[in-house]
Amino acid sequence: MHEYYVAKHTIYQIKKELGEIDPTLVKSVGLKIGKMSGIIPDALNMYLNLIAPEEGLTNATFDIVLAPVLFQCNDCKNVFEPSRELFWCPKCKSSNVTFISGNELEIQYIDVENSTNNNKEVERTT
Amino acid sequence: MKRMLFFEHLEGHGPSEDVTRINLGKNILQANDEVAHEIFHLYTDRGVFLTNVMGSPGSGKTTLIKALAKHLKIAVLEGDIASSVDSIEFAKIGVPVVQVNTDVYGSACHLEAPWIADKLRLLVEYKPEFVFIENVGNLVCPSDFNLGEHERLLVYSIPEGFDKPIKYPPMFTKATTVVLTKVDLAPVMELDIEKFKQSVRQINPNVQILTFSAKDEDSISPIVTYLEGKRQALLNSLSS
Repeated sequence: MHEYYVAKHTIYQIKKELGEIDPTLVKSVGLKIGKMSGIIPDALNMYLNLIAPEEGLTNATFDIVLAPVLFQCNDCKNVFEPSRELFWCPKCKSSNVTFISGNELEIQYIDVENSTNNNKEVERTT
Repeated sequence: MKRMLFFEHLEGHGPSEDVTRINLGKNILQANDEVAHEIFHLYTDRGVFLTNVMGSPGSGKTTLIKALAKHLKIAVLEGDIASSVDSIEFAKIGVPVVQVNTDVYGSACHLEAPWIADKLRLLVEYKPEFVFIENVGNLVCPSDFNLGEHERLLVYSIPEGFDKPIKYPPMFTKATTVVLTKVDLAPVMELDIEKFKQSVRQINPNVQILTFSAKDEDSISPIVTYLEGKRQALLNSLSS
């Protein structure tokens, strides 16, 4: 439901990172979305593709990678990906487990096209 | 050449040669988290305990906060898509309250820190001991947005059934406290409270689980004691 808002935040954050770099030079953006974040990847992608051109990222595509949900067993220290319904340790069957990761909402990378146009930006920054 | 130098520390592997990769690994919600961080420190420094109350519509968030208002010095930030129904209730019993309607933010299904930061800065001036943020009724979306709270309190009512912890794990894994409400309905709903507690602990072993029934006035006492203890721990951490 909140994919629209996450998409808005994504574009805002990308533009902040770009600084003076022309947003049309962005070719692709890598995102890492945890399976426990409550985000539907397809819905996020749809909103990103709607919002990005409005914000000047006319050539950008978005590569969404899903991060697994990981739990650790507090008894045998086994790290595991729980099945859909059972959250206990598959090795020792303990239900004393701790959530480790799977909430990620991350921008992993931004691929910017090399262009003679943005050399001037680089010179200014260096 | 100059360009390569500029991006040297950010250089990654994989992209084709006509592309420069900026490696980030940054949180998408950084803008939200920066504001939340600021709020967290403001409240911590003032010794005001901030609780983010989340839960489905109708789970009893308002009723629980109203019951707490009789025992604690509180202020409330009401989050709803529309209307001031709940904030009027609080104003009637003399609780400082601010209403935030998310219909101005596209009828958002959750609250974000930048939308409420100003209101939280205002509420702290009423010198409450506790501030409760009543989030928009929803069992999914609010869990992703940090609001700078000390406590993430999930209100969950018995009629919602025993299976929701495994159906909606994001909310249950992120909660620090679960308050089971309408427990007087457990016999009618044939829901075993102990079994339910176990199913929550299976995905979140450290969570505190408390029970409450609006029909039983005494049932609020353990929750009051628990929250007072939490605030005392906050105050102790400040003085040490």
